[in-house]
Amino acid sequence: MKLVVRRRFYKHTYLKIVLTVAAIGLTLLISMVILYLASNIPPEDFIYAVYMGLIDPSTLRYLIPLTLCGLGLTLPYKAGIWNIGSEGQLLSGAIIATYIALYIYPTDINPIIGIPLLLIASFMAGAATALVAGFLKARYNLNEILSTLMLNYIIIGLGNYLVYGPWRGATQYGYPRTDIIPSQLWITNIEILGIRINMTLIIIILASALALNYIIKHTRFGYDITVYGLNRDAAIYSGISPEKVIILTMLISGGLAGLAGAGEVLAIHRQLIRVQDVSAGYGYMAILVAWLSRMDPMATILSGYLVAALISTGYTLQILAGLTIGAVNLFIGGLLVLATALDFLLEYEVEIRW
Amino acid sequence: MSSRRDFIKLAAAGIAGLAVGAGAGYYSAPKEIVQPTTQVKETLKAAWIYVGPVGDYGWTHAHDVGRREAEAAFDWLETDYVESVKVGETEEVISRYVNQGYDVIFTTSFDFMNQTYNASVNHPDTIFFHCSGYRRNKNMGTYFADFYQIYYLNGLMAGALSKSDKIGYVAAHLIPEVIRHINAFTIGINEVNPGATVYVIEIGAWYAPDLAREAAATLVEQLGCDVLAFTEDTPSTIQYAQSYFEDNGVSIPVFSHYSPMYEYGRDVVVSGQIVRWGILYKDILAKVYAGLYTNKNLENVDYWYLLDSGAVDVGAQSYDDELWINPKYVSIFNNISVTDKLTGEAVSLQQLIERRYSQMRDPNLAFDPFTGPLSGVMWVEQGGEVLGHKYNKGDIVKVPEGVRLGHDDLWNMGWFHENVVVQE
Amino acid sequence: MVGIAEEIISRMVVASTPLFLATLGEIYTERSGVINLGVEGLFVLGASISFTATIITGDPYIALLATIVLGSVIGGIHGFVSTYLKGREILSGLAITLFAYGLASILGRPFVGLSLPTRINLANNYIYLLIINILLAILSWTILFKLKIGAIIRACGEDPSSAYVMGVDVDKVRLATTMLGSGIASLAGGIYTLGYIQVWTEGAGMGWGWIAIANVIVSLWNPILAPIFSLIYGGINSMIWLLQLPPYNISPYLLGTTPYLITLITLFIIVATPIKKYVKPPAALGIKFEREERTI
Repeated sequence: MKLVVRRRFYKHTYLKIVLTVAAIGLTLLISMVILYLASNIPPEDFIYAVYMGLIDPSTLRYLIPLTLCGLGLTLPYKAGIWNIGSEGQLLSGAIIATYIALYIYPTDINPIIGIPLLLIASFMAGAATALVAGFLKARYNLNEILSTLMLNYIIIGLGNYLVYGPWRGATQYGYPRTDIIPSQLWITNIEILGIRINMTLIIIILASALALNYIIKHTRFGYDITVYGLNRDAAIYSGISPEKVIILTMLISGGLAGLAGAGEVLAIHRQLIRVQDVSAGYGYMAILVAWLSRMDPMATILSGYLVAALISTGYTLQILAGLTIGAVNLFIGGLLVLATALDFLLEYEVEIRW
Repeated sequence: MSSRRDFIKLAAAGIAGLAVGAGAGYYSAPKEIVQPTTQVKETLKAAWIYVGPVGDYGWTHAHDVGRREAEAAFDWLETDYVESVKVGETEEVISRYVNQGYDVIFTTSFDFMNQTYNASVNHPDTIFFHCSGYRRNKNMGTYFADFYQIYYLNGLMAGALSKSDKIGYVAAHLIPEVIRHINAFTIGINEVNPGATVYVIEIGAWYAPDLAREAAATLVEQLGCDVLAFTEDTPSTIQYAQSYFEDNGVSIPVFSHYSPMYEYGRDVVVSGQIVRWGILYKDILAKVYAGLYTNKNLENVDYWYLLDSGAVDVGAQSYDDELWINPKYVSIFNNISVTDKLTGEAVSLQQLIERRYSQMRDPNLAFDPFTGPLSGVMWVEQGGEVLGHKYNKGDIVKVPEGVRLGHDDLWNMGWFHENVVVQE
Repeated sequence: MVGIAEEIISRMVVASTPLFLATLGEIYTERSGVINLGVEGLFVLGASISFTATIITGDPYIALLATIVLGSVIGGIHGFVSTYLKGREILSGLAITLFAYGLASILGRPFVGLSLPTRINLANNYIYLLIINILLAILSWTILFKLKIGAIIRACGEDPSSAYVMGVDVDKVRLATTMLGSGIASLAGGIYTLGYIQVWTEGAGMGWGWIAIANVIVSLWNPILAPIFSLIYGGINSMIWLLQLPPYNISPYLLGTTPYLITLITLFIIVATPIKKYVKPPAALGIKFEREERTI
């Protein structure tokens, strides 16, 4: 028997879906078996944890930052630009939103003007952080994986300097956190069908997904991104400017991550705390979100939901089955490896010859 | 458990559909799938929300030792925990436990304060206890076991052992708790060694074995400190001192922090601080079980456990309930003669340590390190209050002779003792 | 003063060794055309296994051997996905890092609170350590640039199609160097635990792998240059601490960013100054080797 491998000319959409679902299903199946064999966790407990992850109200809370960052990453990843810096871009959005809300904002301004202003500012802050890496990439071809990673750590350091130093709140009993931002600037959750959700950000997510979808599918820029991602030399030969692709995709992805940061501060923390605690690693998890969606903005909402459910399942497994945090990382890592490996079947067809 | 099994049958049918139409399934899914089982209070279910991994051998590890102790002590108690919970996800994790029918929830990080408070508002039937914060509610109490008296006793030892009159302190973060500990440590040092100074290096992380090691090395090798203490969640500082001893034959006495860390440095660990959260947890849970603490009367329940409670102790070898000092150093302390400043008597250092230990174990607190005269400098950016006086950053803080600092002065401490060398 | 200078140099050498080793391993991998972001996780995994295995076996050298073996097997997953399966190696590398983080936590946890029965004394032997590092660098340079095996590895990273025509099994070579690099990255983590911090608690070693990956570029993919930035980094790590005290008073949180800032600035200097003409990444780095049709 021989296996013959040939590159596919056309990538079927149904195959993308099947393979993504297969990757998720396979990961869950393998996890279930391992947990049963290694820790004697009954399979029905495992299934229950996954189900709880899918329906628990907390999933919708994790979905918001994950999807915002994930949406942003669809553009650069489509162009083959590896922005690993969503976490830092999110945090810069959070830092700027807090700064303006606490120190610049006149307290008597109407929140209907105020909150959008804060969101715009945090978008710009996230975009500016990403721009550093984008500029270094476009102008000097400096590896963006490394620059965005380094920037994540640098932003955390700068933010902590502020929180532990000049911004330490006067009303916080000496603890390193800023004062609470004025309540008229909070983004409050709305209760729908008994579930409290952050409508403002959900609307922003839907609008961004539609906008990105339009950009990718119906604009010249979206076409440029796709071509650049598929074949850089051909793209440059056909007159596409790599600088433009790099800078713009980085700006948009950074900006959306920055919005997620404002969301974490205005809707969840209402003050700046130790900076690495503002986000629960959503910027890193968003890499998985963007990838599972195959860089399709509309599908990102679904993949954001799935990854949020995965986080939620991780907590349930800890609660029900006494699983450790290490096992949770193991699953998420395993899922990403499998999804990447199964991509093989998307890119190639395998024929069995006897 | 049975409710879960029943549920599985229900869920199995719908699960495939949910996986595909997940977004829609979210809204339509019935919320009341897991009802809290009717509580007959035959068993009490308590859950712990941890900020770090149980394997940190520091803060979270110590809380988990306490949890296990409580579980072993009461057959009516059922416990569970979640580790490495992210601050922004705390409320959701708490809701899980509430939905599972848990009666008492402990949140063991200052960072969880606002989230716990919100949860106490949203779940008025559940009892909450938050460690190290100051916000309470009718169903939310607070608790803390503080080391400052232990640090003072460690300071007596450190002051006597230092030849260079420079003592190093590796600090995780300079928050009020750590500032209080550094000051108490300095007060102890100066009681037996008036000129000695404490050099503080802040590493900016609760958990960072490599940074703690480099900071310790800097204190010893570049600043000339010859005794070390630290607040960081790993035994890295002790390991540094032990290897320094093995490699160079020079002993850098060091004090263990939080967990018993004697095994990491048998030649250099003098003593240290031990916490026994189990004592607190048992007390709280027994009172909840007996109906003394309910979801209506916790507004003023604030545990502030000191040496007299047994929840904290001087030691480094085990969780045993006694004053423990490495025998190697006891013989040294027996031969050091000092004056008890309260009585004017000449005693050995070992006697002074034991005397102060029993004075602070006395519930009437015959002695407290934070008693004037004390002098220092306001350090936090925003300034702060001491004994009702407002001080700005850089102002000299004076505590008059004989005056003791109160709970709030200790709790919000933002000034450093004058003999502390720290970033300005 | 001589004593103090010696102690600082000793700390610098000890702190630089894990970084140097991890860099060396990744240079082999990248020279053959594969990027392995799993190095970060494998370092953390190595820190954990070496500790666990030393406690179980009592012998740190057996433990390091186990570390190398397990590290190369886990890294081999990345190697297989990014060679034979043509997967996106950035993603698969990140996945391996997460996976290894998890494995490190699970394997090490039962042993938390125990101290190492024996440790490797690097601080007192730092001169030998420095010499060994430099010899390793020279040896690796010789292997990569003077020996046939090195020519094969570099051919896979520069021009895989020509290598294939000359009879080299490109995917096999790439898989092998990825496993080699992963094993060395785990070894580096092991040295970090056993020789440097000498304790293990959860999360030990996080962040070092990223610096190693940056160091590959800073070293221009040349083993001879790998010790230089490692030493600078080790030196910074040991010397910044004084700066937070008077008279300097620099915030420790700002000082904490210096390793990353220095890495970023060094990368910038390398790509934005005339040095850039020496920056020659393997031409086929990160590019899959494809054939029209193949059988497996």
